[in-house]
Amino acid sequence: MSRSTFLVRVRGAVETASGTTAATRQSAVAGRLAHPPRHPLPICAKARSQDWEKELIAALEARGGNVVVIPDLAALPRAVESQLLHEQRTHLLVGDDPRLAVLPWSIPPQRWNPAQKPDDGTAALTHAVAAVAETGTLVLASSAASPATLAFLPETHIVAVARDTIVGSFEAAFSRLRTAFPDRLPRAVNLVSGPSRTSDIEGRLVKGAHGPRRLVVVLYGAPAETT
Amino acid sequence: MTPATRTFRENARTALGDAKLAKALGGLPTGLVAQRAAAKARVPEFETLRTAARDIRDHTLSNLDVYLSAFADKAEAAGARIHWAADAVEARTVIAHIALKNGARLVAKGKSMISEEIALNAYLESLGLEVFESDLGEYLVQIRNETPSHIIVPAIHLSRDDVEADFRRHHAHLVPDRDLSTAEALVAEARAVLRERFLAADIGITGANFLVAETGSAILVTNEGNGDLSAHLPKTHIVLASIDKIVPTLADAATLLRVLARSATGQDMTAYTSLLTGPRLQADPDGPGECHIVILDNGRSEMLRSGLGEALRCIRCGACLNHCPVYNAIGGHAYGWVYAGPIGAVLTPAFLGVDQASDLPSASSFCGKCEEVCPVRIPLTSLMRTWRERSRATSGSALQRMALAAWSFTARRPRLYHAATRLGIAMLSALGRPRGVFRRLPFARGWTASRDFPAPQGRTFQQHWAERERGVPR
Repeated sequence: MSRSTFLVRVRGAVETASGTTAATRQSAVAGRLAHPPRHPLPICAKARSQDWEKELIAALEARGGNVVVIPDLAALPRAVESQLLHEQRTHLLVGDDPRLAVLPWSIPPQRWNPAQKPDDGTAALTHAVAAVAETGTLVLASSAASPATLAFLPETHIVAVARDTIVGSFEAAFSRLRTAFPDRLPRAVNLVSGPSRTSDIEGRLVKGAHGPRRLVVVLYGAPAETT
Repeated sequence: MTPATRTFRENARTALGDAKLAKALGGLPTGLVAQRAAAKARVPEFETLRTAARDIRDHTLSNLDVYLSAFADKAEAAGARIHWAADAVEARTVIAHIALKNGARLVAKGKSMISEEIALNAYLESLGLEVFESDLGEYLVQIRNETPSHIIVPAIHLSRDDVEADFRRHHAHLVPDRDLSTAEALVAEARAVLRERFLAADIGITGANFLVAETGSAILVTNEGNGDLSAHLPKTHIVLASIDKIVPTLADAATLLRVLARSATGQDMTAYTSLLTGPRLQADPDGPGECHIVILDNGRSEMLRSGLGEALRCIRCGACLNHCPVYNAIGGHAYGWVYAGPIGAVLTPAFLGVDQASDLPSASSFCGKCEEVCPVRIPLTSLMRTWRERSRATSGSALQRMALAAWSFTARRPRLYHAATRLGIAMLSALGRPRGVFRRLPFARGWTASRDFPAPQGRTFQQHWAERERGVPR
């Protein structure tokens, strides 16, 4: 069906139900899109900024994620390699991320080749663009540096998060995204709040349904200036 | 699927006698219901969030034509192709066309209730395509040739033993004496089997929880990550979403996400929430080359027109099912079509016609628990009442209609009503005095078949109340 025929039908229904004119609706919609509303926030989204990191770590750990805090990005290879050693792995997949490439690795990570799908048994490292304290959620934006596939196919997903990118609420994270990508969002923005899980068999929680069984979060750098 | 809504009474009777089903549903009060209560208790502002969520839905539905247009413009600007489908036939045809044009053979499916509504899998299979459901619960019902019995827990009616037996039968290529004694082992097997399928799939089809007009994005909420694998790996991604999935902005989506997972599973947030915008960009190493969004009406604009628009607020959390005494007793399959529980009793007559599903809105004690927990405050009981009224002219026996007419005549005349109840109560009290209970009552066999009916004490509630107001000691 053509767009116009389809929308004429919806328009008729809307006008019968709400009794408004097209002009009123157009201005209501334009207003809302230009100035997104500020809805009430729950207490977990209103924490003081000095508590965000604590909140983030607690929520991630409650869902079975591991969190490591390191002083700066230069310390990332050691933290990641010790995780790999712990899991008895040698391979680490990364995207085309210049920030990771320049680090002092003892075993250089392998650049992911999109033609090859990672085996179920690999680990991958990507960079988050932000993290939301409210629910302990990582914000990943797909790009050459951080391919979405690496957040779902490997068995272990390690995510580097700069401490000054932690925000309190989803609204704050979304508004950062809109500022960073004003024209269009990256193809995939993945909000990751824990390892993959299912409760489809007798309501019993099992980790590692289709996505990573393990989620390791490495927080690095100085926290944001608190006011 | 062929609706079995007309045989609801028989379906329900059979379900009530099914001990296995009773055991499976018996986990709801301590499972999803308790988990939601705990999640709500952690958010003191939960009632305020529900009100905000309701207002977002109402605002969007009141401006739906303009929002659909705005969404389509944004999504197309991001490179997605939008397809408008008035009904199931149009939606199936356009999806099949995309699949065949791309030479697809294997289709990865993420969970989508709308695909059940339009019977998509059967249609694609009739064209020679192979379709696999990737959500574990959906996969289980697919390999059993069943349909989901719950919106978010499709295989809630199955036990671990059922799953083990199904896997041994369906995964016959694996070694027969493997250990499948735990849920962990079963999940690991499904992961391995479906991983191979994911890597071979030509097309991914998913639903969407929301379509964001501000950015032209589809939002996909899952715990397993299967929706993401369906969206990121195949060369082509098709999103199938109905008109009511639109939300204005990301800020509006944030509020809806805050009530969605908490109402559904008691999680503050599911493991994965993905905002998908258009096909892969030039610099992207992965992602689908084509992104299609099929927007389906299938009777929804008619619901809006005919005063049932409040039902379109639904965000498919399943809380009304979990808290419904009727659903808890009979499960989802008895409802006879895609949507079960209180929301099913409201949606099914709209989709299939009230003559096909007139018993569904009657399968409620109107306890109101569904409304109490609905994250978008859908007035489910009054919508069920609307359907009862619309079907009354055509359904029920002549005797039932006469009885209802007599009841309605009496109930609207307080003096007559009080006189009649005084007489009735006094009679029942006199008759029941020897034993204190009735083992059998005319017109109430449904009640007395499984329990006694206590004999009234002789006076009506109104009489007691009037005496109390006058200060007469009891």
